[in-house]
Order: sequence, then C-alpha cells, then structure tokens
Amino acid sequence: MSAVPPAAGGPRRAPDPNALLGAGSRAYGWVRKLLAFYGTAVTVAQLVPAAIALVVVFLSPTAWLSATLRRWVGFGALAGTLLGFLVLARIAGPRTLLARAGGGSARGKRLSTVAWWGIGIAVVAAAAFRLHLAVVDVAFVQGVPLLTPVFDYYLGGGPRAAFIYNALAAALVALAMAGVVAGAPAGLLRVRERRAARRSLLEEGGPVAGLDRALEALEQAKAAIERSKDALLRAAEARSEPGVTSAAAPPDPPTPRAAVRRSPR
Amino acid sequence: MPGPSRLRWRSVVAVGLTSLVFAAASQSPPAEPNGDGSTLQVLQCQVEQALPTPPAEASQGGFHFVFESLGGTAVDGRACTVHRIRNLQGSPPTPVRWSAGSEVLADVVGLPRCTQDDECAWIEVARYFDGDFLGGDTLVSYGLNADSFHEETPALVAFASPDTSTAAASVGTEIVGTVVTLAGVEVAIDLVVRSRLERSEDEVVLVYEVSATDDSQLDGSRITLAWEAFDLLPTGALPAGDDGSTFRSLATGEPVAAGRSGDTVSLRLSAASVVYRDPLALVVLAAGSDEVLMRVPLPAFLPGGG
Repeated sequence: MSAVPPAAGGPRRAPDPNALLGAGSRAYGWVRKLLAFYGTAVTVAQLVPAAIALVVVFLSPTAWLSATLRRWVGFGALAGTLLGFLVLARIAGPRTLLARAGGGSARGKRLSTVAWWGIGIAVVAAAAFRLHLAVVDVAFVQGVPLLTPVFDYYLGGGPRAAFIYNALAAALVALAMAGVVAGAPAGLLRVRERRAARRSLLEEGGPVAGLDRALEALEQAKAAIERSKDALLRAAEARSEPGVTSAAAPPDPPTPRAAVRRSPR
Repeated sequence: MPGPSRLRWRSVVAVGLTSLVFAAASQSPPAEPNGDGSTLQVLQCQVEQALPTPPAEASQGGFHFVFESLGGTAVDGRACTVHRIRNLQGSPPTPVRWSAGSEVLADVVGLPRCTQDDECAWIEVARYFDGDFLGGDTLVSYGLNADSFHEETPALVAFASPDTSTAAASVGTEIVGTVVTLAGVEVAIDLVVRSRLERSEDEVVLVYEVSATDDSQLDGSRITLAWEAFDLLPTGALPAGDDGSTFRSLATGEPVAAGRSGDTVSLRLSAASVVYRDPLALVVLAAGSDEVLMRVPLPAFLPGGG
C-alpha cells in the first residue's frame, strides 16, 4: 500500500533542518574535493613545462649535432638490428617462427630467456648510451665535475679519442637495437604462443574441455546420488512411523549390476 | 660673451668634427696599428688586413673561443696570411676545424683549457707565399668531432701562385701554439716548414725543410711532421729514416730521412722539372704515438710536369 502524496495546493511541509544541514555538509565536501582536485591539477600543470623540457633535453643532447656521431650511430643501429634478427631467427627457428607452438617447452623457455635478456640488455645499453652522450655535454659536465677528465679525454684527445667515443656510441646503440629486435619479438612470440596453447586446450574437443565435461558429469552423478540418498532417508522415516503398513515399505534395494554381471551363468 | 651667430657657427663646427670622428671610427682600418702607431706584426707577417674585425667569438654548446684571419706582407716581401684561434677563460678543450670549401685552413684537435685569461694563448698558423689573399666565406666547425657547431665567417684566404721557372721560390707555413695530447700533456709548437726550389743551370733541387729553435721539435722526440707532399714524390725518391726522423709519409707513416744543419732539418731532392701543388696538408703528430695534433695547409713544389 502506497502513501498518498499531498495535494498540489495543500499545505506545504516545513523544510527539515537536518536535511538542510546534510545537504550543506555534502556541498561543502564537494567544494573541498573540487578545491583539492584543482590544487593538484594546478601543481601538475606547473610541472608539465619542466617535464617537457626534460624530455626535450633528454632526447636532443648536443652530441647529436655532430654529423660524424650520427653516422656512427646509424651504422651501429643497422648492425644491431641485423644482429638482433640473427639472434631471433636462431632461437625462434625459421621454420616455426610463425607456426603455433606444438608444446615445445624448450623453445618456449628459449623465447622467454631471449625476451628477458634482450629487453634487459636494451634498457641497460640505452641508459649507458644516454650517459655516453651526456659526458661530452659541457653543461652536464660542469654540473658533474667528476666527469671532467672523461670530457677532456674525448674532446681534447684528437682523432683517436673521437674514434673511441664514436665506436663506443655505435656499440651501445648496436647492443640496444639487438636487444630490442631480438627481445621484443621473442617476447611477443612467447605471449602469442602461450595464448595459442591455452586456446587449444580450451577449445571444443580439447583436453580442458574434456575435463570440464567430466567435471559436469561428476556433478550430475553427485546430484543423482544426493537425490537417491534423500529418497532413501525419506523411505526409512516413513517406515518407522506408526500405522504404516508393510505395503508402504520401500522396495528392496536393486541388485548391483556389477554383481549380476559377475555372477556365473 | 659671444653672440648667437657665433655660437651657431661653433655648434656647426663641433657637430661636423664629431661626425667626422665617428665616421672615421666606423671605418675598418686597413691595418691594425700597435699602440705606438707601428703596423701590427704577427709572427713574420706584417698585418694589413684583418677579417673578421674584431675577432669573432664562437660560443655555442658551452664552448667559447675567438678567431680571426690576418693578411699582409711577410718580412721578406712575400704575401702572408695568419689564421689564429684562442680559447677563452674557462672554456673546455675544443676541437676546431677552420675551412674554406675543401681547403682546411687550420685543424686543431684540441684548444687547451685555460683557467686564467692570460694563459689563453693564440694558436697561429701563418702562410708565406708568392701570390695574394682574398676575403671569402669560410666555416669554423667545433665541438665533438669538430662538427657539432658551425660558424660561417668571412676570412682571408691565400691564393699562392709561385713562379716555378725562377731561380728560387718558396712556400712555407709557420705554426705557433700549444695543443694537448690524448694523455692531457700540453705540447708547445713553434716551427716553420717550407718547400723551396733552387734552380741551377742544369738541375733543380727541391728542398723540404723545417726550422725550429727548440731541438725537441727537430729530433722527433716531441713531434713529427707528416707531409702529404712526400706521398706524391716518385717511388724510391724518399730515403728511409728512423725513429728520430722529423718527417713522415702521411699515407704510410714511414719515417723519411733528412739532414740536420743548425736549427734546420732538410730533405733535398734533384728534379728535372717542377710543378707546384696546392692544396696539400701538413699534419703535426705527437712523437711515438702518431697521434694527430694539428693539420695545416702546406703546398709544395714537386718533381714533374715536363
């Protein structure tokens, strides 16, 4: 039964002071949350230019201005890419590179190893390369006087020191590229093959689906046994009640089929 | 008290004189005089022109140095140019290459760091030759690999045109300055390298020589000199030297034997005829390590040409 709403032209109820207080408190809470959000947003917005500047500085060191270094790094990247291709092809196997994993656990292990090592080496080499670029940056070295001898060696050491610097930069880039080119596809391949293996287990006719069906059958059997048990208990209770004739007695339990089958003819 | 017309006249004269002074000051002097009014002499070159004026300053990427080219007449009456570079106080070691087109005017592997301004000395490369010099566009590159930063600048460039048919002719390059080696050791260089010809009635003698007052620059104990000219001489014309030889072949690095006479080491070769080759390079190497310290232009007289 529902309450009858007051008529439109009827007497108006006085506003509940508790409700008003509650609404005011909620509004105050929202304003506080809004102000906190605004403060955070302003702080983040103030940090954005600095973050962008850091990214720009990080991505455009002065060493990049040297055309000679860019050539060396280009050759290093090319060599590293080729090396990465070779490593990937060797561990993945050219014939099975795109094929689904056939349960080759050794191959999966190899892929995982190469993926982790490749990405790890790439990250370390990239960080070392960035530091290598920084040690010939005047502003950076002025901030880290410890690196002054290294700076003086590379900048004041003539063609031989410049050769060492360029070769080291190329080697670091080659390592990073080899790591990425070998590690990233190996990781992706590993993930893809793992998913494919899982799919093949779960698909219709697969082992997991079979196990699921077996579990379902077990559940059904369990339910049937439970029902039989209940029926048996009910029959036993009915027999023990007074006035119940033997006609109401439950039938004899069925002869086990196995026993029948096993009986000699 | 002077009248208004006289005052006006004085004002006109004062303004005119001031304008003349400013106009004169704004003109680039043909020669940079010394304080006593005499012409500036840098090495053996009496300076008549300077470009850029005043010396230009390169200041990118935290490097700071100044450079200028000078032109004039050598003390022996030939033409001369000087290209000089000086690091500024606090600036780090700086590789600098100054070139005009494909010709390298001066290539210094590392201007040494100087902590006080009076320690920051010029590295000077002077050329003495028969011919003329002209102002043209040049490029100063510096920083890592000497090609990180670039300054385009006008500079004086030598155009040597010696007469190979005369009884005697000479081209030479003088190097004065201090550079740093890979090990951080400062090496002072002060020498003159020349290619000369001496013509007699029946033959021409080509002389390749280096003069220095400091023995360590001549006995191969501090520096050696690899000259591109030696690679252009006929096979077998160069006598093989030893570790103490001043001269080297630029292509092979093999020492070239030369005779010592006072403060000059010279190699003399006979030739039937002579050609003049320009540009060629002279490379200053640190002794023992064959580490390049400087590369400067040094043309040469060579056998050949019929």
